[in-house]
Amino acid sequence: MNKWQIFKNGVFNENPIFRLVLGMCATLAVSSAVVNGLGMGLATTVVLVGSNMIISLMRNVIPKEIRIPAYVVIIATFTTIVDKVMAASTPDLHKVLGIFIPLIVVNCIILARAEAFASKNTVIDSAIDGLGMGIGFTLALTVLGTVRELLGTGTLLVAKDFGFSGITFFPKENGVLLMILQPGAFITLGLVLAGINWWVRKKEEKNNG
Amino acid sequence: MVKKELRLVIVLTIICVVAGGILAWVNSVTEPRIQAQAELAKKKALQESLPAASEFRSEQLLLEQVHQAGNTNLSELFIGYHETEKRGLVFIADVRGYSSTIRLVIGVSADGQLAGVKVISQAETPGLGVKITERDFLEQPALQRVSSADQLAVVKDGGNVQAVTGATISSRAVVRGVNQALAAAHLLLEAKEQ
Repeated sequence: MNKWQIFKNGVFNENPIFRLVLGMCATLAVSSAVVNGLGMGLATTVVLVGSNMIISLMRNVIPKEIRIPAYVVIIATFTTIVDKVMAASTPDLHKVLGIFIPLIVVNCIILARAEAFASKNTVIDSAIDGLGMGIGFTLALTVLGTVRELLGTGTLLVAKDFGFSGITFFPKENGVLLMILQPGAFITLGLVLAGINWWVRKKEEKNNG
Repeated sequence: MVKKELRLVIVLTIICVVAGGILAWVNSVTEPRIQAQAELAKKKALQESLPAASEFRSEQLLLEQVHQAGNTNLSELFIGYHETEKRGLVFIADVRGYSSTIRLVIGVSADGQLAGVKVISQAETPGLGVKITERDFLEQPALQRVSSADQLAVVKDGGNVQAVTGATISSRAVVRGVNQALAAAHLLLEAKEQ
């Protein structure tokens, strides 16, 4: 695959949420609002690119028997560094992303890409894969977040920390509270996954028929 | 053979040691700045919770008195001054929230009125519990014009405070902290008058 294909793969064909179905814990928790999804996606992309690059750099040094513990240590270290550096140098952004940053460590996407891609490809390709997957993740969170936030609260893009109180479509009392709670997360994800699977299948039938 | 296992142990140990070393270094570099920012945020919160004061002095002895009266979630107490005049009290309360310890700054003016409530640290549920930090919750009507003789409760518990939708536990925690601060302020202000 060339560089552009690697990138596109992460965003569409092998979208981590909608096609690989990874990182579900973080997705379900964070997709309750669009801004939350964007913040999480951004932080995850940074860690994903960084850890992919470092693991790719060390791919010939790490024996395969201990690759998983090695990856976990590397990913956790990287996440903690990002967390600390942001807390010290960009306190306002850190406060907004706050709890999402430690949550990245439990996001399976990073370990999965380390194992499936970074350990077998060059540093540049791994970086691009990380970028594609990260953006695919962010895109998916945005789609889910839009549905959940809109139906659940009637507003979109509430970003209180940036002084923006969102675009209101209908009053909060008319919102479906379920959508911003966990059952709504599952339901929304399930329906979107079903829709995408149907669409992919139709495309395949068209290509084969 | 044994040589192979040894290699695995050595490589993993090296990775962990290097990671530990890097983290220790990053920590030593960033920790002072993180602490400085926490101090700044605390000062800002003290000021916002009692706008009438310009200087704040910590009072440990009075705090013990407050603890003995049962208000054990209050971890710090400041007297707010403007020039030499006492303008009120500021409490720092640590209350157990839904998924974290919520640190509150609560200001009570010298005439016994609740002057301000701020949240300076928490790790509640994103999108839900986190909303206790917003002005919509902290500056709601039920938290205005509250005197130190009052005790508050969320609507579910028969009171006037509107909890954050879907985050009753977080909201109740804030109310608990505020109530302790009110009770403590009442105690101290009454004592001063006598």
